[in-house]
Amino acid sequence: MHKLKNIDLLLYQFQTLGIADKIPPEALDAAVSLIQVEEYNKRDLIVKKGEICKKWFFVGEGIVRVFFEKNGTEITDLLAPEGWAFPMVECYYGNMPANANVEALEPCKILILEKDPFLGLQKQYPELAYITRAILKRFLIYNQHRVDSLMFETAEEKYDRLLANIPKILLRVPSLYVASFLGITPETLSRVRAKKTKK
Amino acid sequence: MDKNIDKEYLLNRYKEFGIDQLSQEVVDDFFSRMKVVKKKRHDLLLKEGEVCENFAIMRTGLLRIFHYKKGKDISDVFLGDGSFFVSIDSFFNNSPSDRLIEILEPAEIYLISRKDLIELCDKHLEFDLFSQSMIAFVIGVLQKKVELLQFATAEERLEMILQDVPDLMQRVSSVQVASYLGVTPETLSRVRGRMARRNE
Repeated sequence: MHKLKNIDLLLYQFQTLGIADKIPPEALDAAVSLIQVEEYNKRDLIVKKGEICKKWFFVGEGIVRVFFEKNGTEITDLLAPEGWAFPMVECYYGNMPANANVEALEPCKILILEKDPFLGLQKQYPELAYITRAILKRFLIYNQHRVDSLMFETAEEKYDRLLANIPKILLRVPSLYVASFLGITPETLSRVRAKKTKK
Repeated sequence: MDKNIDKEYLLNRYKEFGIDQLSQEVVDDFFSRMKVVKKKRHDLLLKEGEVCENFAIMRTGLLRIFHYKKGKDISDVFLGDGSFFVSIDSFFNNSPSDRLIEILEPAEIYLISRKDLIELCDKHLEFDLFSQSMIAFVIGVLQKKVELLQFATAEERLEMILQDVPDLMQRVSSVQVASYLGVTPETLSRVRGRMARRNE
Protein backbone atom coordinates (compact mmCIF):
# COMPACT_ATOMS: atom_id res chain seq x y z
CA MET A 1 0.00 0.00 0.00
CA HIS A 2 1.31 3.47 -0.80
CA LYS A 3 0.07 7.00 -0.83
CA LEU A 4 -1.27 8.52 -3.98
CA LYS A 5 1.34 10.28 -6.08
CA ASN A 6 -0.40 11.11 -9.29
CA ILE A 7 -3.71 12.79 -8.56
CA ASP A 8 -4.38 13.96 -12.11
CA LEU A 9 -7.09 11.39 -12.70
CA LEU A 10 -8.88 12.37 -9.53
CA LEU A 11 -8.61 16.08 -10.26
CA TYR A 12 -9.92 15.47 -13.75
CA GLN A 13 -12.90 13.70 -12.16
CA PHE A 14 -13.58 16.67 -9.94
CA GLN A 15 -13.47 18.97 -12.93
CA THR A 16 -15.98 16.91 -14.87
CA LEU A 17 -18.22 16.96 -11.81
CA GLY A 18 -17.93 20.75 -11.66
CA ILE A 19 -16.69 20.75 -8.09
CA ALA A 20 -12.98 21.50 -8.61
CA ASP A 21 -13.46 25.25 -8.16
CA LYS A 22 -15.57 24.87 -5.04
CA ILE A 23 -12.90 23.17 -2.99
CA PRO A 24 -9.98 25.21 -1.66
CA PRO A 25 -6.57 23.75 -2.64
CA GLU A 26 -5.54 23.05 0.96
CA ALA A 27 -8.75 21.07 1.54
CA LEU A 28 -8.13 19.08 -1.61
CA ASP A 29 -4.55 18.37 -0.58
CA ALA A 30 -5.75 17.13 2.78
CA ALA A 31 -8.33 14.85 1.15
CA VAL A 32 -5.83 13.48 -1.34
CA SER A 33 -3.45 12.65 1.52
CA LEU A 34 -6.16 10.37 2.94
CA ILE A 35 -6.49 8.37 -0.26
CA GLN A 36 -4.79 5.00 -0.32
CA VAL A 37 -3.86 3.25 -3.54
CA GLU A 38 -4.23 -0.51 -3.59
CA GLU A 39 -3.05 -2.75 -6.39
CA TYR A 40 -4.89 -5.93 -7.31
CA ASN A 41 -4.21 -8.80 -9.67
CA LYS A 42 -6.73 -10.11 -12.12
CA ARG A 43 -9.44 -12.13 -10.25
CA ASP A 44 -8.58 -10.68 -6.82
CA LEU A 45 -11.55 -9.88 -4.63
CA ILE A 46 -11.50 -6.23 -3.60
CA VAL A 47 -14.60 -6.53 -1.42
CA LYS A 48 -16.16 -9.74 -0.17
CA LYS A 49 -19.90 -9.97 0.39
CA GLY A 50 -20.69 -9.66 4.10
CA GLU A 51 -17.73 -7.40 4.84
CA ILE A 52 -18.34 -4.02 6.39
CA CYS A 53 -16.61 -1.67 4.05
CA LYS A 54 -17.24 2.00 4.58
CA LYS A 55 -15.23 3.25 1.64
CA TRP A 56 -15.46 5.04 -1.64
CA PHE A 57 -13.65 3.37 -4.53
CA PHE A 58 -12.16 5.25 -7.48
CA VAL A 59 -10.96 2.99 -10.27
CA GLY A 60 -7.55 4.39 -11.26
CA GLU A 61 -6.55 1.63 -13.67
CA GLY A 62 -8.22 -1.56 -14.84
CA ILE A 63 -11.85 -2.62 -14.64
CA VAL A 64 -13.88 -4.14 -11.80
CA ARG A 65 -17.18 -5.90 -11.58
CA VAL A 66 -19.65 -5.91 -8.72
CA PHE A 67 -21.55 -9.20 -8.52
CA PHE A 68 -23.58 -11.43 -6.25
CA GLU A 69 -25.01 -14.92 -6.39
CA LYS A 70 -28.65 -15.74 -6.91
CA ASN A 71 -29.94 -19.30 -7.11
CA GLY A 72 -26.43 -20.56 -7.84
CA THR A 73 -25.84 -18.07 -10.68
CA GLU A 74 -23.50 -15.10 -10.53
CA ILE A 75 -25.22 -11.85 -11.43
CA THR A 76 -23.16 -8.88 -12.57
CA ASP A 77 -24.46 -5.67 -11.08
CA LEU A 78 -21.91 -3.10 -12.15
CA LEU A 79 -18.95 -2.92 -14.53
CA ALA A 80 -16.68 -0.02 -13.63
CA PRO A 81 -13.60 0.88 -15.70
CA GLU A 82 -10.92 3.50 -14.97
CA GLY A 83 -12.37 6.88 -14.09
CA TRP A 84 -15.44 5.49 -12.34
CA ALA A 85 -16.21 6.00 -8.68
CA PHE A 86 -18.68 4.17 -6.47
CA PRO A 87 -19.33 3.46 -2.80
CA MET A 88 -20.70 0.26 -1.34
CA VAL A 89 -23.84 2.25 -0.63
CA GLU A 90 -25.31 -0.10 1.95
CA CYS A 91 -22.07 -0.04 3.99
CA TYR A 92 -21.07 3.59 3.67
CA TYR A 93 -24.53 5.04 4.20
CA GLY A 94 -26.49 2.22 5.77
CA ASN A 95 -23.92 0.65 8.13
CA MET A 96 -24.81 -2.76 6.71
CA PRO A 97 -22.54 -5.53 5.44
CA ALA A 98 -21.73 -5.47 1.71
CA ASN A 99 -24.47 -7.18 -0.30
CA ALA A 100 -22.17 -7.95 -3.24
CA ASN A 101 -18.57 -8.82 -4.13
CA VAL A 102 -16.18 -6.57 -6.00
CA GLU A 103 -13.65 -8.32 -8.22
CA ALA A 104 -10.72 -7.07 -10.33
CA LEU A 105 -11.15 -8.26 -13.94
CA GLU A 106 -7.75 -6.87 -14.92
CA PRO A 107 -4.73 -5.80 -12.91
CA CYS A 108 -6.17 -2.78 -11.10
CA LYS A 109 -5.11 0.28 -9.19
CA ILE A 110 -7.91 1.33 -6.90
CA LEU A 111 -8.01 4.62 -5.01
CA ILE A 112 -9.71 4.17 -1.68
CA LEU A 113 -11.24 6.83 0.55
CA GLU A 114 -12.34 5.65 3.99
CA LYS A 115 -15.41 7.12 5.59
CA ASP A 116 -14.37 7.93 9.15
CA PRO A 117 -11.14 9.83 8.43
CA PHE A 118 -12.90 11.61 5.57
CA LEU A 119 -15.78 12.71 7.81
CA GLY A 120 -13.23 13.85 10.38
CA LEU A 121 -11.55 15.99 7.76
CA GLN A 122 -14.89 17.46 6.70
CA LYS A 123 -15.23 19.05 10.14
CA GLN A 124 -12.18 21.10 9.24
CA TYR A 125 -13.06 21.54 5.54
CA PRO A 126 -16.84 21.31 5.08
CA GLU A 127 -16.43 21.95 1.32
CA LEU A 128 -15.17 18.39 0.96
CA ALA A 129 -18.76 17.22 1.23
CA TYR A 130 -19.13 18.43 -2.38
CA ILE A 131 -17.06 15.47 -3.49
CA THR A 132 -19.26 12.69 -2.23
CA ARG A 133 -22.47 14.64 -2.83
CA ALA A 134 -21.57 15.20 -6.50
CA ILE A 135 -20.46 11.63 -7.16
CA LEU A 136 -23.44 10.21 -5.32
CA LYS A 137 -25.77 12.36 -7.42
CA ARG A 138 -24.10 11.11 -10.60
CA PHE A 139 -24.36 7.52 -9.38
CA LEU A 140 -28.06 8.03 -8.61
CA ILE A 141 -28.74 9.27 -12.13
CA TYR A 142 -26.69 6.41 -13.57
CA ASN A 143 -28.85 3.93 -11.65
CA GLN A 144 -32.06 5.58 -12.82
CA HIS A 145 -30.88 5.27 -16.44
CA ARG A 146 -29.92 1.68 -15.83
CA VAL A 147 -33.42 0.85 -14.60
CA ASP A 148 -34.90 2.58 -17.66
CA SER A 149 -32.56 0.69 -19.95
CA LEU A 150 -33.40 -2.70 -18.44
CA MET A 151 -37.12 -2.03 -18.53
CA PHE A 152 -37.56 -0.59 -21.96
CA GLU A 153 -34.62 -1.13 -24.24
CA THR A 154 -34.06 -3.97 -26.69
CA ALA A 155 -30.99 -6.17 -26.26
CA GLU A 156 -29.29 -4.22 -29.04
CA GLU A 157 -30.03 -0.84 -27.47
CA LYS A 158 -28.77 -2.04 -24.10
CA TYR A 159 -25.56 -3.29 -25.66
CA ASP A 160 -25.05 0.01 -27.55
CA ARG A 161 -25.57 1.96 -24.35
CA LEU A 162 -22.96 -0.15 -22.59
CA LEU A 163 -20.49 0.31 -25.47
CA ALA A 164 -21.00 4.07 -25.29
CA ASN A 165 -20.06 3.92 -21.59
CA ILE A 166 -17.25 1.38 -21.91
CA PRO A 167 -15.89 1.05 -25.47
CA LYS A 168 -14.46 -2.37 -26.46
CA ILE A 169 -15.88 -3.92 -23.34
CA LEU A 170 -15.84 -7.44 -24.74
CA LEU A 171 -12.08 -7.31 -25.17
CA ARG A 172 -11.82 -6.76 -21.42
CA VAL A 173 -14.76 -8.56 -19.84
CA PRO A 174 -15.95 -12.17 -20.42
CA SER A 175 -19.13 -12.17 -22.48
CA LEU A 176 -20.90 -14.15 -19.78
CA TYR A 177 -20.57 -11.20 -17.38
CA VAL A 178 -21.59 -8.72 -20.04
CA ALA A 179 -24.73 -10.72 -20.83
CA SER A 180 -25.57 -10.95 -17.14
CA PHE A 181 -25.06 -7.21 -16.71
CA LEU A 182 -27.48 -6.55 -19.58
CA GLY A 183 -30.04 -9.03 -18.27
CA ILE A 184 -29.92 -11.10 -21.48
CA THR A 185 -28.70 -14.62 -22.24
CA PRO A 186 -25.20 -15.18 -23.68
CA GLU A 187 -26.89 -16.50 -26.85
CA THR A 188 -28.81 -13.27 -27.33
CA LEU A 189 -25.63 -11.27 -26.77
CA SER A 190 -23.80 -13.23 -29.46
CA ARG A 191 -26.74 -12.75 -31.87
CA VAL A 192 -26.66 -9.00 -31.23
CA ARG A 193 -22.92 -8.92 -31.88
CA ALA A 194 -23.20 -10.93 -35.08
CA LYS A 195 -25.89 -8.59 -36.35
CA LYS A 196 -23.71 -5.56 -35.62
CA THR A 197 -20.71 -7.08 -37.40
CA LYS A 198 -22.83 -7.71 -40.51
CA LYS A 199 -23.90 -4.05 -40.59
CA MET B 1 -42.52 28.24 11.05
CA ASP B 2 -45.47 26.47 9.53
CA LYS B 3 -47.50 24.84 12.26
CA ASN B 4 -49.09 22.37 9.89
CA ILE B 5 -45.96 20.30 9.52
CA ASP B 6 -46.06 17.08 11.48
CA LYS B 7 -42.54 17.32 12.86
CA GLU B 8 -42.87 14.39 15.24
CA TYR B 9 -43.82 12.17 12.34
CA LEU B 10 -40.87 13.25 10.20
CA LEU B 11 -38.38 12.88 13.04
CA ASN B 12 -39.59 9.35 13.57
CA ARG B 13 -40.04 8.38 9.92
CA TYR B 14 -36.55 9.47 8.82
CA LYS B 15 -34.58 8.11 11.75
CA GLU B 16 -32.82 5.62 9.49
CA PHE B 17 -31.21 8.54 7.65
CA GLY B 18 -30.07 10.13 10.89
CA ILE B 19 -32.61 12.96 11.14
CA ASP B 20 -32.67 12.43 14.91
CA GLN B 21 -28.91 13.12 14.99
CA LEU B 22 -29.34 16.62 13.59
CA SER B 23 -29.02 19.53 15.99
CA GLN B 24 -32.16 21.46 16.91
CA GLU B 25 -30.95 24.48 14.94
CA VAL B 26 -30.59 22.44 11.74
CA VAL B 27 -33.91 20.65 12.16
CA ASP B 28 -35.68 23.98 12.70
CA ASP B 29 -33.99 25.45 9.63
CA PHE B 30 -35.09 22.40 7.59
CA PHE B 31 -38.72 22.44 8.75
CA SER B 32 -39.05 26.22 8.48
CA ARG B 33 -38.34 26.03 4.74
CA MET B 34 -41.10 23.48 4.08
CA LYS B 35 -44.40 24.32 2.44
CA VAL B 36 -47.54 22.25 2.87
CA VAL B 37 -49.75 21.54 -0.15
CA LYS B 38 -52.93 19.53 -0.41
CA LYS B 39 -53.74 17.71 -3.63
CA LYS B 40 -56.79 15.94 -5.00
CA ARG B 41 -57.06 12.66 -6.86
CA HIS B 42 -55.83 12.99 -10.48
CA ASP B 43 -53.96 16.25 -9.79
CA LEU B 44 -50.58 16.39 -11.48
CA LEU B 45 -47.87 17.49 -9.08
CA LEU B 46 -45.41 17.60 -11.99
CA LYS B 47 -46.20 17.79 -15.70
CA GLU B 48 -44.14 16.51 -18.60
CA GLY B 49 -41.59 19.13 -19.68
CA GLU B 50 -41.73 21.03 -16.38
CA VAL B 51 -38.57 21.32 -14.32
CA CYS B 52 -38.87 19.52 -10.99
CA GLU B 53 -38.00 22.33 -8.57
CA ASN B 54 -39.00 20.69 -5.29
CA PHE B 55 -38.00 17.83 -3.12
CA ALA B 56 -41.24 16.39 -1.78
CA ILE B 57 -42.33 14.35 1.19
CA MET B 58 -45.78 12.76 1.22
CA ARG B 59 -47.28 12.88 4.70
CA THR B 60 -50.42 11.01 3.63
CA GLY B 61 -51.84 9.82 0.34
CA LEU B 62 -50.84 7.77 -2.66
CA LEU B 63 -49.21 8.80 -5.93
CA ARG B 64 -47.41 7.39 -8.87
CA ILE B 65 -44.50 8.60 -10.97
CA PHE B 66 -44.94 7.66 -14.62
CA HIS B 67 -43.88 8.55 -18.14
CA TYR B 68 -44.89 8.01 -21.74
CA LYS B 69 -42.85 5.56 -23.78
CA LYS B 70 -43.86 5.64 -27.45
CA GLY B 71 -47.23 6.98 -26.40
CA LYS B 72 -47.76 4.29 -23.79
CA ASP B 73 -48.31 5.17 -20.13
CA ILE B 74 -45.63 3.45 -18.01
CA SER B 75 -45.68 3.60 -14.20
CA ASP B 76 -42.25 3.91 -12.60
CA VAL B 77 -43.20 3.67 -8.97
CA PHE B 78 -46.10 3.89 -6.54
CA LEU B 79 -45.50 5.76 -3.30
CA GLY B 80 -47.51 5.90 -0.08
CA ASP B 81 -47.41 7.66 3.31
CA GLY B 82 -44.02 8.94 4.37
CA SER B 83 -42.33 8.53 0.97
CA PHE B 84 -40.01 11.18 -0.38
CA PHE B 85 -39.52 11.78 -4.07
CA VAL B 86 -38.30 13.95 -6.94
CA SER B 87 -38.14 13.45 -10.69
CA ILE B 88 -34.51 12.38 -10.46
CA ASP B 89 -32.99 13.59 -13.74
CA SER B 90 -34.98 16.79 -13.77
CA PHE B 91 -34.35 17.74 -10.15
CA PHE B 92 -30.62 17.11 -10.16
CA ASN B 93 -29.85 18.34 -13.68
CA ASN B 94 -32.32 21.24 -13.59
CA SER B 95 -33.79 19.99 -16.87
CA PRO B 96 -37.33 19.43 -18.21
CA SER B 97 -38.85 16.29 -16.72
CA ASP B 98 -39.82 13.28 -18.81
CA ARG B 99 -41.58 11.99 -15.70
CA LEU B 100 -45.02 13.04 -14.49
CA ILE B 101 -46.26 12.80 -10.92
CA GLU B 102 -49.95 11.99 -10.48
CA ILE B 103 -51.92 11.97 -7.26
CA LEU B 104 -53.96 8.75 -6.92
CA GLU B 105 -55.53 9.45 -3.53
CA PRO B 106 -55.97 12.79 -1.72
CA ALA B 107 -52.54 13.77 -0.48
CA GLU B 108 -50.86 16.10 1.96
CA ILE B 109 -47.37 16.91 0.73
CA TYR B 110 -44.46 18.87 2.16
CA LEU B 111 -42.31 20.67 -0.40
CA ILE B 112 -38.85 22.14 -0.12
CA SER B 113 -37.15 23.87 -3.05
CA ARG B 114 -33.89 22.78 -4.65
CA LYS B 115 -32.40 26.17 -3.78
CA ASP B 116 -33.32 25.76 -0.10
CA LEU B 117 -31.92 22.23 -0.01
CA ILE B 118 -28.61 23.33 -1.52
CA GLU B 119 -28.46 26.18 0.98
CA LEU B 120 -29.11 23.78 3.84
CA CYS B 121 -26.38 21.43 2.62
CA ASP B 122 -23.89 24.26 2.21
CA LYS B 123 -24.75 25.81 5.55
CA HIS B 124 -24.80 22.68 7.70
CA LEU B 125 -22.39 19.81 7.12
CA GLU B 126 -24.63 17.51 9.17
CA PHE B 127 -27.55 18.25 6.88
CA ASP B 128 -25.42 17.43 3.87
CA LEU B 129 -24.66 13.99 5.33
CA PHE B 130 -28.36 13.46 6.04
CA SER B 131 -29.20 14.35 2.42
CA GLN B 132 -26.51 11.97 1.15
CA SER B 133 -28.05 9.16 3.20
CA MET B 134 -31.38 9.83 1.53
CA ILE B 135 -29.81 9.79 -1.94
CA ALA B 136 -28.01 6.57 -1.02
CA PHE B 137 -31.33 5.04 0.02
CA VAL B 138 -32.81 5.81 -3.40
CA ILE B 139 -29.76 4.30 -5.09
CA GLY B 140 -30.40 1.17 -3.02
CA VAL B 141 -34.02 1.08 -4.17
CA LEU B 142 -32.97 1.45 -7.81
CA GLN B 143 -30.33 -1.26 -7.43
CA LYS B 144 -32.93 -3.65 -6.05
CA LYS B 145 -35.07 -2.87 -9.05
CA VAL B 146 -32.12 -3.50 -11.40
CA GLU B 147 -31.60 -6.86 -9.75
CA LEU B 148 -35.22 -7.78 -10.30
CA LEU B 149 -35.26 -6.56 -13.87
CA GLN B 150 -32.19 -8.58 -14.79
CA PHE B 151 -33.77 -11.93 -14.07
CA ALA B 152 -36.91 -11.79 -11.97
CA THR B 153 -40.20 -13.24 -13.10
CA ALA B 154 -43.34 -11.11 -13.20
CA GLU B 155 -44.39 -12.81 -9.98
CA GLU B 156 -41.20 -11.82 -8.14
CA ARG B 157 -41.61 -8.25 -9.36
CA LEU B 158 -45.17 -8.09 -8.12
CA GLU B 159 -44.15 -9.44 -4.73
CA MET B 160 -41.53 -6.72 -4.50
CA ILE B 161 -43.94 -3.85 -5.07
CA LEU B 162 -46.48 -5.36 -2.71
CA GLN B 163 -43.85 -5.18 0.01
CA ASP B 164 -43.81 -1.39 -0.44
CA VAL B 165 -47.57 -0.83 -0.73
CA PRO B 166 -49.30 -4.08 0.37
CA ASP B 167 -52.83 -3.11 -0.68
CA LEU B 168 -51.73 -1.59 -3.98
CA MET B 169 -53.94 -3.85 -6.12
CA GLN B 170 -57.01 -2.58 -4.31
CA ARG B 171 -55.96 1.04 -4.70
CA VAL B 172 -54.83 1.46 -8.31
CA SER B 173 -55.85 0.09 -11.70
CA SER B 174 -54.34 -3.19 -12.85
CA VAL B 175 -53.30 -1.56 -16.13
CA GLN B 176 -51.02 0.77 -14.18
CA VAL B 177 -49.55 -2.06 -12.14
CA ALA B 178 -48.97 -4.13 -15.31
CA SER B 179 -47.06 -1.27 -16.94
CA TYR B 180 -44.94 -0.97 -13.82
CA LEU B 181 -44.06 -4.67 -14.02
CA GLY B 182 -43.41 -4.46 -17.73
CA VAL B 183 -46.04 -7.12 -18.48
CA THR B 184 -49.42 -7.16 -20.21
CA PRO B 185 -52.56 -6.86 -18.05
CA GLU B 186 -53.38 -10.48 -19.07
CA THR B 187 -50.07 -11.77 -17.72
CA LEU B 188 -50.62 -9.81 -14.52
CA SER B 189 -54.00 -11.41 -14.03
CA ARG B 190 -52.52 -14.90 -14.57
CA VAL B 191 -49.76 -14.12 -12.05
CA ARG B 192 -52.31 -12.90 -9.50
CA GLY B 193 -54.39 -16.03 -10.02
CA ARG B 194 -51.35 -18.22 -9.36
CA MET B 195 -50.43 -16.25 -6.25
CA ALA B 196 -53.98 -16.42 -4.92
CA ARG B 197 -54.18 -20.19 -5.42
CA ARG B 198 -50.86 -20.67 -3.67
CA ASN B 199 -51.99 -18.60 -0.70
CA GLU B 200 -55.24 -20.52 -0.25
